[in-house]
Amino acid sequence: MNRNMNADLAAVDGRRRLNMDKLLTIICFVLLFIIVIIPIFMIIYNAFFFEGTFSIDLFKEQLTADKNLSAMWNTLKIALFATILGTIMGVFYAWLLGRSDIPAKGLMRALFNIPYMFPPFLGAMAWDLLLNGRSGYLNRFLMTTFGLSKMPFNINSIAGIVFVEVSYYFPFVFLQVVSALERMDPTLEESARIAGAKQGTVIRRITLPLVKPAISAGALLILTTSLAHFGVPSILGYAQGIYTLPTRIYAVIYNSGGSFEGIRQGAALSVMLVAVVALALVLQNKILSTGNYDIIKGKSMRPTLIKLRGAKAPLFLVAIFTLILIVFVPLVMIVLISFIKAYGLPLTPGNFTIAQYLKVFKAGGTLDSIKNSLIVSITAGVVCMFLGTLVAYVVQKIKPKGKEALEVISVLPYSIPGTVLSIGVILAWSGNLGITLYNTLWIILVAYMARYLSFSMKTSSAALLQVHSSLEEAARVCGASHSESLADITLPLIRPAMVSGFFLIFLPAMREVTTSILLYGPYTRTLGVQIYSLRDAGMIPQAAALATVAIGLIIILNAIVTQITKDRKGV
Amino acid sequence: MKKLVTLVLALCLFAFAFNAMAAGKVMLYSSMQEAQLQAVKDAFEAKYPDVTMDYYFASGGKVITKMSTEAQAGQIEADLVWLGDPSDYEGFKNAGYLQQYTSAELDHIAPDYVDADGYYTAARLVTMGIAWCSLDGIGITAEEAPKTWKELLDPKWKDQIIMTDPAQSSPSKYWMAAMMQNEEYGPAYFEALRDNGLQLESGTTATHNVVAAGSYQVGICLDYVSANLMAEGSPLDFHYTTEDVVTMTSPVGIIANCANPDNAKLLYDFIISKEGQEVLVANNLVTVRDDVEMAIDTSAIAAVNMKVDFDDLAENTDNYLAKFNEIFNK
Repeated sequence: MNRNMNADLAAVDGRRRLNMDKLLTIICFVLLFIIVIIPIFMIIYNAFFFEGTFSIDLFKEQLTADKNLSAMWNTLKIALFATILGTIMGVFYAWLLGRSDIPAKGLMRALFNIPYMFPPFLGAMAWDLLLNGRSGYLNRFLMTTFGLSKMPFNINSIAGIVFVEVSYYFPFVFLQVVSALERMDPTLEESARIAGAKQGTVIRRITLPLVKPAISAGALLILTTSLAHFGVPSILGYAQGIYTLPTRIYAVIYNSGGSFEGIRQGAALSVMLVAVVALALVLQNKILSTGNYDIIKGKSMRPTLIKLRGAKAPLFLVAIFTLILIVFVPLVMIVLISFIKAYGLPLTPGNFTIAQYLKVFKAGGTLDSIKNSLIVSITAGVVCMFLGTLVAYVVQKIKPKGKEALEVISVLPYSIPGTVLSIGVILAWSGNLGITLYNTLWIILVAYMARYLSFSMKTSSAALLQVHSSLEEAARVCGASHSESLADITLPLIRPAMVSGFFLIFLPAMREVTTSILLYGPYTRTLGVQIYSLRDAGMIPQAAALATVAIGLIIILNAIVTQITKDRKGV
Repeated sequence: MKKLVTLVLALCLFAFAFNAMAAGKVMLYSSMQEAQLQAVKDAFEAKYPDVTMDYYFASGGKVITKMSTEAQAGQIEADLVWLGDPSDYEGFKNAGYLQQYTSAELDHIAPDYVDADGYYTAARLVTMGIAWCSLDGIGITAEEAPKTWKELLDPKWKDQIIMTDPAQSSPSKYWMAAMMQNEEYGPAYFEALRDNGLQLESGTTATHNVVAAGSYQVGICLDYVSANLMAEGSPLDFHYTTEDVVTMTSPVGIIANCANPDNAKLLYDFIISKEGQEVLVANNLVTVRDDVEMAIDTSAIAAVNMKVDFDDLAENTDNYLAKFNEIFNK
């Protein structure tokens, strides 16, 4: 009987499933080819080919230069420490806010999301103002208060860069792990406890392994983001001569006075960076492939909360302190600076003014930049949400030949510094291949899609990993077609992940700088570009004023969308 | 459903964004500060209400990179370019980025400031000097501040000097190249500066800001940027050096085959007209015209100007920059 039914099912399935799966796979490959492969090919081509002939000299020369090697070493050091510390912090707070009975959970969760919306380069600016080794406000205060002969902290160091990056990147792990913890089957933990396991053992042997895919996906995001990150090291390290590969690439491009040679050198350096990231990806796949981490979703109630008892008060204090340090201090600093008359004046009431806000809104570019950013970020978020889920579905469920390639391709652009991705996109879409998108919003959209696809792909992927095929099979047994089971079972189950994938793209895209800085046309400034240009031009109080507006805008948008999607988030 | 609505909304906005492109525009790429570009825009649009002036502002290096990337892609999107370093314009001219245009406004501009082949003309003067923080307890006084370039080598400024990275900023590059070219200074001067702990900042105004914040006691700074910041209330002070003043002309040129050639000429004429130059002067810039009143006496500065060989600069600035990068291990 059983045998017969399976055979019938397979027969019903066979032809149809093959066709639909094939179609999805082909769509996937074609889209990724256009969005990702073409720009990357243009970069590699320009790194190795000069006026049509192959030459490895430039690459060799760049690979062996001392400055580049030390930049590479710095990049690795920063990325490694940021990943380790960020992962520990993300997992700890995900567990604390997701599974313990700590008070004010909802509020704290919302607050812990703020660093994710806050542009890291503004955080670096804020910390530079406070803890600059030469003139930080806080440093100077500590010096006079305690009669120190030297400034006690120096944020302009590798440790300082790691600190700022960790405080903005730990949400990658935090967000992923929190949602994984929520989707987890509590009966597994309960049975362990019934079998006599202690709290620590349950966490170590049951909880951690179950959320391992989420941790590892988040950690990989931190690693790739940090490896390619430009803003923080450029603000904190540039004047001190601390280079990372992305800031080095930026330097060679600008040191060449804009000659094409610099763009080629940058392309060669980014090939190095891509190699490092590809290595990280392979390592991550190796680690993940040892074991089966299905979290069977949709079968049970919410997990029980763990009672902290005596540890509650101290852990609560630690969480509050972390929030103050990474969320409030930089925010308050940016807001204060936005009201200062001129940069460098002491922060006393007599020096405050709202003139900076008036100037910002008088400049015609401000409203345009907000409009442009909204258009591009929403569009990129929606498109990537569907495309990323499509790729994740193909990779996780259809598993065609070359699925590893698909996975690598979709993550690859994020490992390329935004500046270089932009150059690839410019070379590809400014007429060389017959299509001209340059100086339109479309070219920024194409770059954002390439850059952020991996976000939605990874979240959907982690969610799909946890939807056991038994659920879809059950629907099929009950007579649903393949597409019905997809629409009625799989998609609803991963919808929260898709929505969070949208936010993972929409929020950083709203204040993105590194990619759009080379792509924006005269009429297509984005919000991030506008803030960065103001800061870059040295108008720091104005940049802070616009940043304050931007942060307010993002928080409001976030609240609105959370409200809209609230009823859909539950299982 | 909601997502669908969002998608439709986004697409509508998209379509709308592309409809916004209207006729009667002119685009200027410049490395000036935004407030001044805004002032030029306001004045220009008041005079020509049916032409909208747009601008792209970034530091000189970035504008040049943008131009070369765009040229690589086929066409520079700007109609005019107005940067800080005249030696870049020889490069632009040779690369075919510029078109010739002889303005009727040139009569009141010294021939030295105008390109003999008619590709560009100086539109303002920029002079490098020394700035410091004037806050009590943090900064220094005008008497203490160095008055010559050589005084910067005094050990009392050890690790306390900042300048803008010449690779990032046109005026800084011009100053560096002029000093490199001069036998009295040359590479040895920059080696000595390095040994005295000179540090580099990535943008011109940023350099002024770190000086104002007291991060560094003295900065190699620009007159107009200092004046602008001081007007806003920044705790900054500035003076010219008493010898070897380096002044550069900041030229404007029209891009070859640009989209709006007629409007480009209107703006070009306006910028160097008496009216346009008065707008600049009102915004702390120094005029190139002999018939515009100014608060500071430019002839006094001109008397202590350093001799500069322009042909050598046009040809060798890149080599000087390479030498500078070598000295500072960049």
